Amino acid sequence: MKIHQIFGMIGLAFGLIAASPSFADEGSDPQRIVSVGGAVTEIVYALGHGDAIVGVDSTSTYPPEARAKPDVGYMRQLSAEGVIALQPDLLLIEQGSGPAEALSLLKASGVPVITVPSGHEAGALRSKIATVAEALGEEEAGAELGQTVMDELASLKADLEAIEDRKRVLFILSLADGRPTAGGSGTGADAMIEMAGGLNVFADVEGYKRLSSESVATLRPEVIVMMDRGTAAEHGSTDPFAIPALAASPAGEAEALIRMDALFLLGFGPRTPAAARELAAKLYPERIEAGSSESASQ
Amino acid sequence: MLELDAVEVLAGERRILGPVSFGLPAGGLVAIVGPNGAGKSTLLKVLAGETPPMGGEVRFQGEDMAAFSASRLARRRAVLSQSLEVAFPFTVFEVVSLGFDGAPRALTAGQKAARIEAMLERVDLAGFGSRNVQTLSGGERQRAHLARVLCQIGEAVDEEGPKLLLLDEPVSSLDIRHQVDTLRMARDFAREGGLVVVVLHDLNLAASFADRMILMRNGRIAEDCDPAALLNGQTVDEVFAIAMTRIDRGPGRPPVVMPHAV
Amino acid sequence: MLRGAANGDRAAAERMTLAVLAGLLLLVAVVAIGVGPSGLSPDRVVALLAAGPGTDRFPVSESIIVWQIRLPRVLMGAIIGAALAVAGATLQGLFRNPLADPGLVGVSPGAALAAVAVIVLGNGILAPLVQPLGIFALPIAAFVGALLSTFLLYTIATRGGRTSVATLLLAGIALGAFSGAITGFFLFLSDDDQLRDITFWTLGGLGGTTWLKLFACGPIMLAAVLASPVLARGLNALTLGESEAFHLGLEVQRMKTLAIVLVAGAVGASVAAAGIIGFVGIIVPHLLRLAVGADHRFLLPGSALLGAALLVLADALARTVAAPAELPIGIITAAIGAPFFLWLLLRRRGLLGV
Repeated sequence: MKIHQIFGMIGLAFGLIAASPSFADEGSDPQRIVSVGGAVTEIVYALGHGDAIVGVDSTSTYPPEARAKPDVGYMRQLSAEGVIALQPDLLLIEQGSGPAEALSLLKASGVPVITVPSGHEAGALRSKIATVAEALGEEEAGAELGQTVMDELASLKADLEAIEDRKRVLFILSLADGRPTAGGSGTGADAMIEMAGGLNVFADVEGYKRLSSESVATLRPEVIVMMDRGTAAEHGSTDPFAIPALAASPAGEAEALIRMDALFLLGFGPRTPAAARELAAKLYPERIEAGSSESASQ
Repeated sequence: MLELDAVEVLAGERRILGPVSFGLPAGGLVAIVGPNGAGKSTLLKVLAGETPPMGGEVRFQGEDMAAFSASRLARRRAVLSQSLEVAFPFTVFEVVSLGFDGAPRALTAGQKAARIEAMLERVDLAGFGSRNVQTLSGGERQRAHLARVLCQIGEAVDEEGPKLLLLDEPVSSLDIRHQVDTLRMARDFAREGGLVVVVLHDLNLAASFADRMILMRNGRIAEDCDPAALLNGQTVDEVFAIAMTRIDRGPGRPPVVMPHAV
Repeated sequence: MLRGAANGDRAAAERMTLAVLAGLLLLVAVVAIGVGPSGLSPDRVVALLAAGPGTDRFPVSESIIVWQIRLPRVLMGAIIGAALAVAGATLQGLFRNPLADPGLVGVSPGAALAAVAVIVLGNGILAPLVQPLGIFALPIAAFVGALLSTFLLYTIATRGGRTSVATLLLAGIALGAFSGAITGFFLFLSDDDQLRDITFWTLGGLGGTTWLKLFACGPIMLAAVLASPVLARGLNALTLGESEAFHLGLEVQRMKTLAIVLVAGAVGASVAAAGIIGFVGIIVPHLLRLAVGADHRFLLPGSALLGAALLVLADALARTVAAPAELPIGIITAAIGAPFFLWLLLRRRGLLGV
């Protein structure tokens, strides 16, 4: 290897981030999309570009067709060459994807990379949709979808307004080993409980944390919400009321347990208003009407 | 060749050796005997330059031993320790060749191999070169290490003077014939002009080969004389706290001793 | 009976093995540069290599694949594999124990603690330190953590200029448990994303390799590997114990210090570059000892070559078997290494009848 080649490589290594080439046909119709992030993939499908997807990450499980696409791995552990090998003309990644080195290599190799913001609030949902729509050249459809989402959330909020006695809700992420991990503030679960008009009893704690048996007594949850991953084992060995402290809670006495599909509940994509409405309907059956066709597809 | 002047070794507050003072000239085989815990191995470690004395001084060939570097010392003295474990599966050949490794000599690989094979034959391990040293019996292993030590020390005397061979219970695992063979080799080294210091438990074996015997008790020297005088005297009985029966073997030869009760 | 020449001198067989291992490494490296999920043909890879980086005769994505992805990864894999295997062989010689690994001198626990701290506290109280370093904060922290904990252990185990290997071992276990506890506390503080980052960092991998990282971490590891033969005679003598090593003419303390510095540098740099990659350091030297010989003059270079070949091969598999996704490399090294190791062990046991 000659000296000038070595310097060439060093130069290239340093220049990678700066030298990301501009992609000329902004707003054109991408034919080979790699979509990273469950919500991002849902939005691409919702905007009618699902057929152009040539690869998804392992968190993209909806709609079911997405699972048949080549899997580029977990969103935080992307393989640069693996993605390049799919010859994408658009790479959509949810914020937080990585590693950074792989992303800068992808940019350097000429793949247009669009980062989609993450977030749990209604506004964040709208900007997710807008970002994806712009990358697909579907600004109009995107604006429409965004508006629908906002409208649905607003109408649910209006319906909930009349309810004064908010249900005390505890979200349990997992019951591994019989030790519950619950969702505190700042989590997607917290945002979802809020949207559905519930009161997250674990909100004093930040993030997903182990729940001590004793604290259940003081939290007095009236309803337990869990994710349904659709496996048989989930129903058998992960019965929260097998844990004495939870069985003794108001939720346990009423056997109030709500299970919902993981990505539907916490994906924060276009189906989120439907998920929020479904959860609200389960929390307040006589006050809130279950949603439209979206939840029926579950 | 080796002088000790008021040498002391302490373990914490406890004195485990000394003060001892004596001189050892080249060309002799000195046996150190004494009960368990008398300080024999500690003394040997001091002579090896391994344990620096906390009081007094050890002079080796006229120089303070502390001034010798490890490699310079390795060219002038070799040590056979007790119960050696080899951590990895070396062949006997490789273990013996370690003798050449520490203090490099100008020998070709072929010369080294020839010496190693000759030395293995000398310790009655001819043909054992390719064996895994970890699978040898205790006695075979002891002789393999003896071969290594002999390779390290080489000739008893070179242009810089006589050399020192230190053996700590070299016959503890050996059958009677190999005990005698081993001590013969040690005596040959002394006859050629080197100095041998050997720690032994068997008083009769020690007396048969040594020119001089040092009897130790509680870290001090109880008796330092020729073998016949030592075994004929009563100090042995006192130090070992057992009465000895003596079988005379004629004038000028040390008697055979055995415990009275037997 | 150990194989080799009839007189037990295995030097010739060992030299032969080194030549074979060098050939193997070269072969594996060439294949690894040639394969990947993008399916470039071998002659195209050769043409891309010949054209040099930044050529305009080929599509930029192909040039990136060969010059920015595969080549630095293969080189990094080879250097890390060599460094880990040599570090393992050195520590095993130092501890006179075939199961010693870099965790024992605090390298891996220290690196892990620092890395987890950066992941969890990087946006919090450590932000003033972490933010300016950007993506280099994690590797730098891992390296510094490895060196600091090793230095601490070495200081604890050294009294009056003599390092007690036994104290080093015991203190290493204690320090490992302690940093494990603090790491556990950081895990408790971490959110979901941080937890996942920590998990993947722990599994290690060459996915983040860049030329920059290679030029930053590679020379440290390369220096350690190239310097290791200096220790060979000392480690051989140490096989008999510390006293014997001194009797044989070695400056034992100087050797111990050098060995520890070498291991801390090599493993610290490797952890910085690719996270914790287990198994290579234990399996490679052990395998060579069982199959060829334990003489460190052979074992150290042999471990370097075989470790390099093993890791390059493992990374090539990691890149291709789950394509377009990538497997963590630790899974592959263990999956290749463990069964082969067991087989060798059982065969050997039958041979010796123990």
